[in-house]
Amino acid sequence: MNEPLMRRMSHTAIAAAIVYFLLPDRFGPLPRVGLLVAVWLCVLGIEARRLRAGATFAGLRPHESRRVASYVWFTTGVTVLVAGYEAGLFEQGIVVGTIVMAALTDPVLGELKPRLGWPKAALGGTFVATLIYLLVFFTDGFEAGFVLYAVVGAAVAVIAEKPSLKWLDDDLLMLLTPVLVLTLLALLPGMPTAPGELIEAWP
Amino acid sequence: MKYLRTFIALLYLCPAVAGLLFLLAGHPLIALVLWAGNGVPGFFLARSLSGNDGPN
Repeated sequence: MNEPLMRRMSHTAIAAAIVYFLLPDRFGPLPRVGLLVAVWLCVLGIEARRLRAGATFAGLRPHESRRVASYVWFTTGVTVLVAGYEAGLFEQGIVVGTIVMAALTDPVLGELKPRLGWPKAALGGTFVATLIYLLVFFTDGFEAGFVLYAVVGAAVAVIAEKPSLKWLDDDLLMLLTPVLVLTLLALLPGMPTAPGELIEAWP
Repeated sequence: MKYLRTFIALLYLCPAVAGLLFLLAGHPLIALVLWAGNGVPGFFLARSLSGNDGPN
């Protein structure tokens, strides 16, 4: 089996997490964010057991046997962003676009960097990330102002992917940094309206 | 190997189902992104599992 491809596919599949926004607001007494937190705690539990055993499984790199794996960072980032959205801190469109963009662009950068080197790979990654943002932002129709948010978010995400830090994974940075920057950008005077509620929850 | 096949099946299935749900909810562009984003590595992974190695 091709291990790098397995990793890429594990990464792209996490984009499916945005199905959260289709869920009804509540499951009986439990708000839907509670479901997400429960999934996140399960992931932390699985990771704790894996780290104690020093094991890896399909889709993980060998060096991840002794450190927190990238899927945990990504799940943590998604949980923080969704909780921030539910708390009214972030716009839904920015959160949805960033989750999909990060899930799909990180593998693209992983393929491009060894072939093209950093500057060219960064340009290619920014192009792909912009395209993904735009496809998500335009789901409710064309809005010219969203292009600015797509380009800025894509560039910030690609820059955030670059540093190699042992205790802060690029998967987390690629999620949090663009959302924080785009949220601050939307607050500046004269900025176009940010992508807001794109997806309505099913009743 | 049995668990690996189940894991790979889930990797194919999750974005496929999520895309279908978004299509039904009236968001074809999001469905397209989910399907295409997973379809490309999925295609190459399927090729590598059948013995033909993809990129890398």
